[in-house]
Amino acid sequence: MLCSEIDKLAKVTLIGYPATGKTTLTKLLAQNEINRLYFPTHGLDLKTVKLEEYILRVWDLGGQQSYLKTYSRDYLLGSDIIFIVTDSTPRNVLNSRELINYACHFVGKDCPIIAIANKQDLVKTDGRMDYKRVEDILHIKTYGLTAIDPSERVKLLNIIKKELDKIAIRRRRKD
Amino acid sequence: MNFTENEIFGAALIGFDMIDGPFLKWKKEYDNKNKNVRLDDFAMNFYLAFRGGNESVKKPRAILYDNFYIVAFPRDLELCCLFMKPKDLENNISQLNKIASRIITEMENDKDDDNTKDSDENTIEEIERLIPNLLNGTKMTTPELRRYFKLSNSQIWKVMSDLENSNKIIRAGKKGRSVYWTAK
Repeated sequence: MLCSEIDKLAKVTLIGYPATGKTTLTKLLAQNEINRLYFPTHGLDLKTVKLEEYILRVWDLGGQQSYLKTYSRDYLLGSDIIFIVTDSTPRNVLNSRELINYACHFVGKDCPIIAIANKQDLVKTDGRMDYKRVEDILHIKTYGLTAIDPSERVKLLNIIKKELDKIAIRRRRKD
Repeated sequence: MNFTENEIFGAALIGFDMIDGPFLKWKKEYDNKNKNVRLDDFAMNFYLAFRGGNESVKKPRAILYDNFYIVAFPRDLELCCLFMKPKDLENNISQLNKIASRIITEMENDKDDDNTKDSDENTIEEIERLIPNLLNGTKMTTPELRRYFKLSNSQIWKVMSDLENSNKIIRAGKKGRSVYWTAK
């Protein structure tokens, strides 16, 4: 791989408890078919997504405790962006604080840790928390998304692009 | 193992980058007609299937898929995968499937020993969050769900009743004495 290509490679890691929508977000990015059936991710899944000049390697880690305990440390290392995915239920949002603290141990300040308050389509009907409330609880930048809606792909790509551009500026300053 | 080289329809060398993880380093397709595997897409998954987990854990040498199998040979962190299309695999799988069904029935008959530990309140809440997701667009019986969550009989019924009362799940029929559930 050429040096210029390596510069544009970005490792995007998704972590979160089971059934929060990490795989659906990954499928959304990769433009794979999204169905509503829930199949837990065993271990992890990887997808490559082209985003303008960037090549994103998206790491989708299974949310089961044994996967998180065994693998998350290794998979978080080297991340350019970490997304903490919640399903916006109050219990899940509260539990997700633990994941943020955990992720902070393995990455430097250069790596943004961003929350995705997923399943925002259920805010009015199923007691899910509005993304701004999720942000208040988690104390990290939070975006609201509905991963099952293919039109949200652009929004997610814009979030990633914005963060990668910021990282690129920081790196250039350092150099 | 009896095989001929004609049964190999592809080969791939999967490399490993310390930062990015597994990547497809090289590939060769011997049989262009065979479209079973898109190597570029699956290389990383194959790598993890063969190399994932701790070093101390036993690793598979071959993995059988629906109509092909892969044999892998590790070389340091790299992995050379041979993609094989063996003869009469469908028949073998069908025979093995019959044996598996017999084993599952045997297990079903033995499973009534209810020695599962009670789960704590936090775990129960997590289970109540997960079950509607699991039942989204599909039906499952109470015993199936019980096994997924290591719950006792009384606990799973308590959880299912709570979810039914809060209109998150509904009954979708019966299989013998077991109730089928689905998400509302």
